[in-house]
Amino acid sequence: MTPVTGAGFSIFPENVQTVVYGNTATFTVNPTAGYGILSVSGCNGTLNSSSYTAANITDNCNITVTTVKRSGNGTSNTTPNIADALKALQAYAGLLTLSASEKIIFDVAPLSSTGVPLGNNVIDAADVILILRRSVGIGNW
Amino acid sequence: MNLKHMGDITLKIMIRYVVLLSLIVSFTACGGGGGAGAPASEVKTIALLTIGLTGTLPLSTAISGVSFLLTLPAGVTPAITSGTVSSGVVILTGVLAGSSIPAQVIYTAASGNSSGTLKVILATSLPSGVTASGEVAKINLLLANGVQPTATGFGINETSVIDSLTYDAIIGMGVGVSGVTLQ
Repeated sequence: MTPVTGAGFSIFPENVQTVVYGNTATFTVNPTAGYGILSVSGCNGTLNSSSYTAANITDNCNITVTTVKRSGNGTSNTTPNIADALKALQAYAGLLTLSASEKIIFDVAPLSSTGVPLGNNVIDAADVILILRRSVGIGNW
Repeated sequence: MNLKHMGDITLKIMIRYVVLLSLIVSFTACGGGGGAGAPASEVKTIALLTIGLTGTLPLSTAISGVSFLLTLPAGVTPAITSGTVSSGVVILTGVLAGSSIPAQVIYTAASGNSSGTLKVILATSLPSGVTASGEVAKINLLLANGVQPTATGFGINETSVIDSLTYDAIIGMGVGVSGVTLQ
């Protein structure tokens, strides 16, 4: 089993794992600050919180992790603008439903002690305010 | 001619003049309501709400913005332009005055048993945030005929005051309607 490395996450164990035919293996996947985990796939596995369990391994396989940057910008990874803040506000008010990717993008608050978006799995007023302020040049995330 | 009879006629004419003069004076007084007389009650068409922070701002803490849901009494609505709340309805004042970030407002009209609401988010453009408590906004609302709401007629819920460093909610702080002026 080969865990794929990339930007925005850590996986443990991070090296190639040899598994007895038909057995299972578990990996721990966590996002790095500023990113969220969109999906983990491969090796017939399932994700439960940060634990990815690959079951009934019968062949070589790869584990792939897809991350999304908490940029606050719904169309690119650049600085958000006022339209992004409005979209986050509409989601907060229940007026629109965000995609899974957008739920990570707009979930920027709270910030880490170094000013990096951590998110808290909910779109709320803090996200809107943070995106509003970033849209006028406050902060550097 | 009988002098007594002539005197009676003169008296009657004088009485008629007095009565007529009284009526004229009386009507003139009634028509002078536009001057210093008792004013007719004015119809109020606008409610101007003052929104302020509640609670105590902890030491070494700055505010990046606030959020609240304002529930409107029946007959009270915001001005709408092209389907959205007009730009002058929510004005940042007090400790948020001068922010270059416009107020973000979503209006949900009353429907059935549900009251109309305004979801409002205000943010300061000061990079370090605001380190004082007090008034944060004024809200201009339109009144239907005869409606005269008081501060207690407005509900304010889902309030958040957000820290400018961590963007967590500041515990112990909220937002309230501190005054209503009818105009």
